Amino acid sequence: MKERDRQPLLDDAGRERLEALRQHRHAPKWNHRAGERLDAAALQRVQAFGKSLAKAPFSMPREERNAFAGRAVRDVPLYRRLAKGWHPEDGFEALPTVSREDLAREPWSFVPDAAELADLITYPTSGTTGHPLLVPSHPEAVAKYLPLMARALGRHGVTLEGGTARPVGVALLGWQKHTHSFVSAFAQLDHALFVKLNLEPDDWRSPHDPRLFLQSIDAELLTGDPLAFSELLRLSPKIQPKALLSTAMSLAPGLRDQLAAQFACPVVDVYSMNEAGPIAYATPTGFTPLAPDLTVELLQADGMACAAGERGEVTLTGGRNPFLPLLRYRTGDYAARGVDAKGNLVLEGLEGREPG
Amino acid sequence: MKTVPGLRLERLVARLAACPPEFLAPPRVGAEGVVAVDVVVGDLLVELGYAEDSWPMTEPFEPGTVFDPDRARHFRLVLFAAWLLRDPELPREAGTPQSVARFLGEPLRSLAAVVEPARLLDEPERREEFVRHALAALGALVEGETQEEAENRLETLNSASKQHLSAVLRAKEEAVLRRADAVREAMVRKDAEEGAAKGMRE
Repeated sequence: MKERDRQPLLDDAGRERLEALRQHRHAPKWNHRAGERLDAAALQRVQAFGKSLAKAPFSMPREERNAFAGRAVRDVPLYRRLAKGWHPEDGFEALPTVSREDLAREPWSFVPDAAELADLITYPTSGTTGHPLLVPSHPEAVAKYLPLMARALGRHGVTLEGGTARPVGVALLGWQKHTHSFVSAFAQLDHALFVKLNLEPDDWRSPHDPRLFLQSIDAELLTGDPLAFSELLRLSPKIQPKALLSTAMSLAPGLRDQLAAQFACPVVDVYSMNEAGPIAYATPTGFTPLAPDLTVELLQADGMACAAGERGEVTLTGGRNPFLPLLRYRTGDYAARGVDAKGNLVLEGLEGREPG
Repeated sequence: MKTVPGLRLERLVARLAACPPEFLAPPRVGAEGVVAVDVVVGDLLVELGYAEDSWPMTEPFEPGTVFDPDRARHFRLVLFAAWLLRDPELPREAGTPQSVARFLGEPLRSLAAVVEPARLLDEPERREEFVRHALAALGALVEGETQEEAENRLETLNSASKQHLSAVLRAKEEAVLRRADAVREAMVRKDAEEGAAKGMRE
């Protein structure tokens, strides 16, 4: 793939900054290239989505959900097959559920009939239940992660500025035996640079480089899983991020507090998965749904909705991935049904998250 | 069934073939389509002599809130029937609006499951089948035909429809398999390419 296809909107100055970071003397051994893959029209749609979040609800309204379900049963081969005989008047709750096993077995059956395949991308993931999945996705669906992450950060009083004020806008940290590391840019953050780093020492030229590089890039936002953040604590770079955003695994309160104290910023825990993107963010009482186009249910094994306090499987409907509309998708993750002060669903004691 | 003097099958089949655009437009189901089928049915029932509020009989033809393709197919046949049944030579006896409302319901829903609406108007035999279903619902016989002859002919046409349905279903199944292959190939191909940069881990 050509650089201009990865970053169609990046100008010469942006390319120079990107290349400079690639050549940075403390940079890791970059092993991959990737970009947002958004053209101007796609960027506008993503930005419009971001703006809409200011006034949007935190989960999909019932009428929209029902309309979504009707379209999904009409247009998606798997749902059409499983929901044969279902009529909208039977009600949403009468629809069958699907699972990660279904997605692992036949991901192509989740792709709507008319979805144009040219923009299809895939993400491999193993997930909680160990079923290896190949998740079909779309660059715009991935780009919409940022506005949802910003929404979660906004609940903690953090606003991302982007641009070129700092050398890097967002740094995604991993601490894995093997993973991609690359540098890119986010057009929707005013072309702020984005780096994906692996803190594993073998990925660097010198053991001092991870710390020095992190200090040098001084990213506005650090994202990563708790393992990577544990390593970040050990490295103790002198940095001033606006926030740390933890995903992929349960974040222990002790680690969260240590991180918040060390880096003097909020540590925001977000529940997310490849199949749906960001789903919920942590509050003192549990995880609160985050996305206005997603319905979160907690279901028992027999498909009945959980009563207050009861534990059940997190089940999703909706999303913004045109290649993977979710209809009562059992995630394999479990939580107890709680409610916030306004009576909205809160996922208490969320369990099962493993890195994808 | 009762013979209607002067009623000729060929003329009714020709009338169906000349269905005007306002009855060919997509029916409103959920947020899709343009023609309010419940209004069309209400007008038809009034025209056929139903003096009371026709709402209870038109309610099944309201658009609802969610699009349903089976309902849309059914409603297309309801619109065709509404045009056909406006024919001035068809019987307008006591009970006709009730018979018509019944015909527009389940019988047409069943027919929509075996006959492609688009094909119905294009093919003479499917048009004849539709007209004969309407006449049977009204208890009317065309001139020069006995009840047994009418029933036998309708049975023959029905069988042909069912054979056609099998062919349609086979074609649909093949299309589904072709699409699944295309998506599968695209996923394998794209797996070898780069994904898009994602700001967080999952």
